[in-house]
Amino acid sequence: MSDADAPYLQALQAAVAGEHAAVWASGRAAGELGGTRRAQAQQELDAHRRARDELRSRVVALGAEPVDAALAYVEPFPVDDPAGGRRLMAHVNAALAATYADVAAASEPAARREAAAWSSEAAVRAVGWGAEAQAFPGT
Amino acid sequence: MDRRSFLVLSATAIGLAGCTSDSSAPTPRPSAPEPIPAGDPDAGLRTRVAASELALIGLYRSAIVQIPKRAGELQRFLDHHEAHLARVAPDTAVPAEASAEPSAPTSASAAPGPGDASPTVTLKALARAESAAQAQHVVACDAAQDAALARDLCLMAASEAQHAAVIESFREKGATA
Repeated sequence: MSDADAPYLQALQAAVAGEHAAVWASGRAAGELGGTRRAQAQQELDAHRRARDELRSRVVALGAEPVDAALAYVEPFPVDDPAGGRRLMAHVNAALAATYADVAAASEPAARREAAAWSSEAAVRAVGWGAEAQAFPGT
Repeated sequence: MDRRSFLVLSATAIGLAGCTSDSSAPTPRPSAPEPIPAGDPDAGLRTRVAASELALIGLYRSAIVQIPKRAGELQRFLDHHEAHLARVAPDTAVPAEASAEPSAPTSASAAPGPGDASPTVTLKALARAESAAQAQHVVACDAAQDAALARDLCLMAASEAQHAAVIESFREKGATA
């Protein structure tokens, strides 16, 4: 890995950590949700696992060791009913929108579209879970 | 052991936004808008983005008049576009009232304007304009020479994707419900 890759690697590692957290959050939220919302959270859990694994492979390709999931996560607010589950999903997806914007910014010009698309997708998922739209999502 | 008592503080807790505010983060976000410096390699890009934001502001001003029952939400989105404009081109003045036509054609200005259309048609035009702006700003993010500007453009695109999704949900619920 060259020095020029360092900011990109740092941003990628933050995204790996973010997707680890999103996997946890999706499972946690699914436990509080029912019906179609529960199924939606479980589908997102699978999608976040795939995203995490893809990002991990990119970290490995740069010759680094991907960050591990935390041993445990702090709930940023009480998650003990369906509203809390939806709020957790909104929160984690809004945060991912900003995390992927960091990946885009740390990428070279002409290599940012994928991360920018991931940022927009996460932002849209956030409003789908009830987040307010923001001028600069996740910030 | 109670589940909640098992949870322990973790540096990678779910408050992911903290990951981006670290002083060692790759691209610090600007604390305040600054004038476009002379010789800025992104000057042309900033001008194009400003034109698209002005066009969206004009569309929202018309839509707020036309759909008063959605004025609160639409005003918030208009405020977002003013924040976008202030971030990328802080010296650009926003016209005082509705006619905020940009001098250059943009994706947003090419979209059908609200005019005398029904609320449903107006919302469809707004959603299309937001989607076009989102795509345009992803491309601008890709082209920006300045990493902090690229980050802002990426997040502006994300915001516009949110607007389009929310406006589509208005349409599904009924434009003036």
